[in-house]
Amino acid sequence: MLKPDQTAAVDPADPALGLISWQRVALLLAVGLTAVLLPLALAGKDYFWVNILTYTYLFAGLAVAWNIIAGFGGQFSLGHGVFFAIGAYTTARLLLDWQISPWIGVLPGAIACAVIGPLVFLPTFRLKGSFFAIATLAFNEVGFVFANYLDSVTGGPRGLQVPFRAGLIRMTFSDPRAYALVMFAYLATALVVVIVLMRSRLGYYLLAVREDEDAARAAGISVRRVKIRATALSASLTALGGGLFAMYVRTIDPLTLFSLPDVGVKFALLSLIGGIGTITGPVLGAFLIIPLESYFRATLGGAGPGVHLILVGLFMLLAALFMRRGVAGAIDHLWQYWQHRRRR
Amino acid sequence: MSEPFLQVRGVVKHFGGLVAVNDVSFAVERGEIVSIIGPNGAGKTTLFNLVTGQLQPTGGEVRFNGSLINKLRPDARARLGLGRTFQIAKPLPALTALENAMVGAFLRHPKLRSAEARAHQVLREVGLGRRANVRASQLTLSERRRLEVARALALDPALILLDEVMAGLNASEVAEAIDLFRRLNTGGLTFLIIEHNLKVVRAFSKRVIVIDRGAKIAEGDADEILTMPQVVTAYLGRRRR
Repeated sequence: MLKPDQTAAVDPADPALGLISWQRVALLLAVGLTAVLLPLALAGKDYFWVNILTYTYLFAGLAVAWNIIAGFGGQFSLGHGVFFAIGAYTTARLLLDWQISPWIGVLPGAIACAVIGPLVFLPTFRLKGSFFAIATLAFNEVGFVFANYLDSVTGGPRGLQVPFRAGLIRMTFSDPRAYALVMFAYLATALVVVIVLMRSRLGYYLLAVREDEDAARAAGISVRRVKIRATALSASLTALGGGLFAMYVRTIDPLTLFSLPDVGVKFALLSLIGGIGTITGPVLGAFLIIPLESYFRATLGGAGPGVHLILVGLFMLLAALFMRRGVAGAIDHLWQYWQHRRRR
Repeated sequence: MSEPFLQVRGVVKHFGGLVAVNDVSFAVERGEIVSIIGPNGAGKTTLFNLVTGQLQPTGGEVRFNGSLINKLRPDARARLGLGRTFQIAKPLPALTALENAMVGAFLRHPKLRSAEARAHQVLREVGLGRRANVRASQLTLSERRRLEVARALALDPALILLDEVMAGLNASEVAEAIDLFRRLNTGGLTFLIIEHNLKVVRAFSKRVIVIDRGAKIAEGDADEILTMPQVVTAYLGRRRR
């Protein structure tokens, strides 16, 4: 044991997380973003497809944000709907009451969630796995009740309506492609934030905390501080997405914002299918599930209520059975297999 | 000499009705190598955990480098310069060996590049240089132990506590390990180790503390201690049951 190596050579096998090389990250980002933007060019002005793409970009960004604390931090939150709703309400409210441009109006919600997120999660950070998930699920329900009762802020069950008056400053567009671009910018922002995070000390500490809290503490890591920072980041990015969502749909109410299958649990589902705890996973998941779900809803919606959900559910079941580490994990596996064969 | 580097005074730890550590006092001077020996279940690891902060003592005090650290959490103690390994290695399984070591190195090297460089350095020191990019979950048991040592060393601690890191190693590996530790000791690192292998204890450490049933029963020069009848009885378990 413990013999100093004669050479400094490092075995090139097994690139593992691949977080180290800048070139690889830059290449991935360039290729990925191009691939992601291409469908928008192809879709043209066809509202059906542009709408699907807009949702895909938005939810890819939201899943990336969720994945920060849940995937890299191991805190499986089902309460992110709260941050999503806070972002949506603040943005809409500021525009309605004070004519504050949503470009600025999305920020206060995000900043507020950087504080609110850690505050609501703090008492539950001791919980692990499904216990944490259940506790955060309760936050979502509490948020739903609050939103229904706080009539003066949220408009209660009727919700808020942002009137359509096109204009760049109001983030309201008559060309649907403009929304897709906004959501794309959001996705790109979220990705850049995550890449920078995972190449920083905080990113490594976050992984260490997820893997083993005792070992992390022994390495001088304040487990609580790391969780607080990661939650702040994750919650504020989610609020940002919520604000953009509000501007896109222009009608927000508690039922939509706190919906588990469409918001709170969806972030988790997309990341799980794509590959939780990886940088690309949530994006892959969103690009698979959102179009699939929207397409099935449109084509099979008439066949009977919920037929599309049965199909999407079946797909998720297969993914869970055959891709335990998600799509990103499966790709990683194939890549390593190919590298292995090439070396022979 | 003023106050000792590490001072444990009258430390007591109860687990419910069980007294795991009972009024133990000892001191470690800067640059020393001290071994703690004793039979299984004697309370050695509990004593370690009291020093590093994984456990809070029921009574007594722990002072390190002039300050009282009793109430500090383990991460605060690590930042003060206490490095440790766990008896059952705790690798971060999804991370590579390099990333594991980097998690330690970040404490003194906040920048990614320098943390990476320091991590490569400690991995080479413990003989894991070629395994840097292998996930910790793929490492063998003995490699995981080395990784445990690497992560602790990457903290650049002033005092390192090693909990049975030699267990299960063959003779030549043990020799290499002692070699490395001696070099580090010459460089100024203080060692407090739990060790079952009495050859290692004799070869490596000057001073030995013997723990039995939670209490310190002897302390002194290695050669002297290891021949004391009461130590031999307690440690080798010749007692008839």
